[in-house]
Amino acid sequence: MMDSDIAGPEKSPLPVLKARNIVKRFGHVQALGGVDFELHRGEIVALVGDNGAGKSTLIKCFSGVYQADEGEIEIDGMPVKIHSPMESRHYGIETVFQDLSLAPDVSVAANVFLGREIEKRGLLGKVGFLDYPEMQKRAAEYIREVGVNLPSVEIPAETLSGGQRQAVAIARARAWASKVLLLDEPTAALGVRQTEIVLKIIKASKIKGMGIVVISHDLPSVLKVADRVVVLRLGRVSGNFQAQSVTYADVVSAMLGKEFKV
Amino acid sequence: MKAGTASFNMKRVVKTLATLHTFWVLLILLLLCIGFSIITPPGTFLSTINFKSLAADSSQLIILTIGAAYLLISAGIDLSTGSVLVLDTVLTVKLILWLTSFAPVGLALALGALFAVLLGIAIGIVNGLLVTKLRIPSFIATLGTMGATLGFARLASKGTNVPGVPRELMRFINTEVLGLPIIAFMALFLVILASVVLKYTRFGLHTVATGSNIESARRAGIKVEFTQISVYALMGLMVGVVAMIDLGRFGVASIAAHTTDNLQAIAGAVIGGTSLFGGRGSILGAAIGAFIPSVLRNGFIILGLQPFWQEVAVAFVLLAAVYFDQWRRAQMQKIESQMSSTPANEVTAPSG
Repeated sequence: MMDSDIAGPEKSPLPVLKARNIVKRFGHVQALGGVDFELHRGEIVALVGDNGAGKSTLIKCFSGVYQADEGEIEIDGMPVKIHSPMESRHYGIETVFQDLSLAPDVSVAANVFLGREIEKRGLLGKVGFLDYPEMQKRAAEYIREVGVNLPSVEIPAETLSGGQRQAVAIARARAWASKVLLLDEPTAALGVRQTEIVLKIIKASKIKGMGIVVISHDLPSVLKVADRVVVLRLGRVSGNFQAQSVTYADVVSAMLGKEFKV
Repeated sequence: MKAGTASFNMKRVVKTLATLHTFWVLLILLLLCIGFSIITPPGTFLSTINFKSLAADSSQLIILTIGAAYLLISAGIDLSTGSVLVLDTVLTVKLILWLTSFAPVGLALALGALFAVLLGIAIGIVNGLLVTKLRIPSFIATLGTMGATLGFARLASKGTNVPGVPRELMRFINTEVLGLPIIAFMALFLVILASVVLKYTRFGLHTVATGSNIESARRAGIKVEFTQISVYALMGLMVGVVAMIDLGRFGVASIAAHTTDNLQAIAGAVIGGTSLFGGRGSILGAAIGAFIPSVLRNGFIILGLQPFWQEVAVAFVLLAAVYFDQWRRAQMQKIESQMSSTPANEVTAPSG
């Protein structure tokens, strides 16, 4: 287990990610009705809520899949507009989507570097030849960092188990994220032991000084790793607790509608 | 430990299955050749002349099959290949004829070749734009261009063949190098180049990733639409090259030819192990696969059978290849579900 002292949040005064009054509508449906959100470096925030509470919508506003209709987003105190996933990545935000976004026929190493391939040096690189040995070496490192053993990084992603795929997706996001790591239901499809491994990876990622947001239905698990719990209900924040002092019952009642002062 | 060994076996199984297909196709090709050598009269199928004509006949189809394989790997398809080829030959001959009326033949041929290639690429880009920008399924989009280009070809040629290809081109295309037609070397060169590009370059990786899971590829920052359009343009480039070869071999732009080139190219690629569902394929396998229809036709003609039997035979080979692909995918999924059930079993043991 991770020592909580090492992984403890080293709070800088300025949140790495700050959102004010985020509103997102889909036609007549208001998915987010003015959400305020803060995330600090080295902090893990669990984003929880019932189905349709707006968790995924909020994360997708940060990762550039959706654009908020109203509200402001600040990265390290700088106001930004995030129009696309590419822009989100440009700001140092990486997302592990629920469907993992791996290309099944492509090797693990190439998946880790997909869209950010390393070219060979010299003329061959200029015409688009890729340095596969280097990518394999680094991909293996990234995956080792998350503490998972794969037989090889040259095998296609589709030959991996669900937990291994999740580990690869997180390793990829961790390798590229400099500020914020967003995880949408990272343990939803996993068994007990694999969930443990993934939680360990998430907790260990704090050392890299990123702010981490984890969406999960699995309250007991996510409470184990989170520093703070933000509860969404019907597109609004209905609870914001320090994980150390919160009880399971507090979170559930916030999810179900008992208002807490934020 | 257990999961580790399972993965190791998996890797071997995958490797075997991947290499197996090319191996089987090569074996089938060899068996066909041996079979025809035995049942045809001596000195007919198994003769230098026939081998040369077989190489020449296959070269054109192999080049088209490269394009078809790239498209299938990117999860696209092009039905317009043959029609675009006809239009390309018709317009190129007309251009060369017009140019030779005032320019030296060499220049006219060079400009003609440039035009042939650019026209192919341009129509390829149109196909790509129809698929990506207008979001028309590739099957229908290229069915549309298939009809349109053939219509234009007939309009431009008034429905008849267009003769008058300069002798210089015919002489060049029918040259032999080291006892083989020069176009066989062109095809071989393109196969090797296309194979290397697919395996080792960014364009190759993006083509595979786009075909494997377009949404993943897009989220990874790949310009999937650009990739798709490029692959259609690549198909067009191949059509342009084949147009020049065709004119050089036969000396005429024939309006009724190439009607089944599209399907033969797709069949060749699929027989060679390229998946119809995208994400997987081999250029070398596709080239070998493209040989099979040519060998069948050649053998049937020598045997005095109606060459139409070839079409029937190719259809059966194609069906068998697609069935094999499906079967292979089902096997993969079976292995996968075994894989994911293994760790679950391991978990229940300590917790219980």
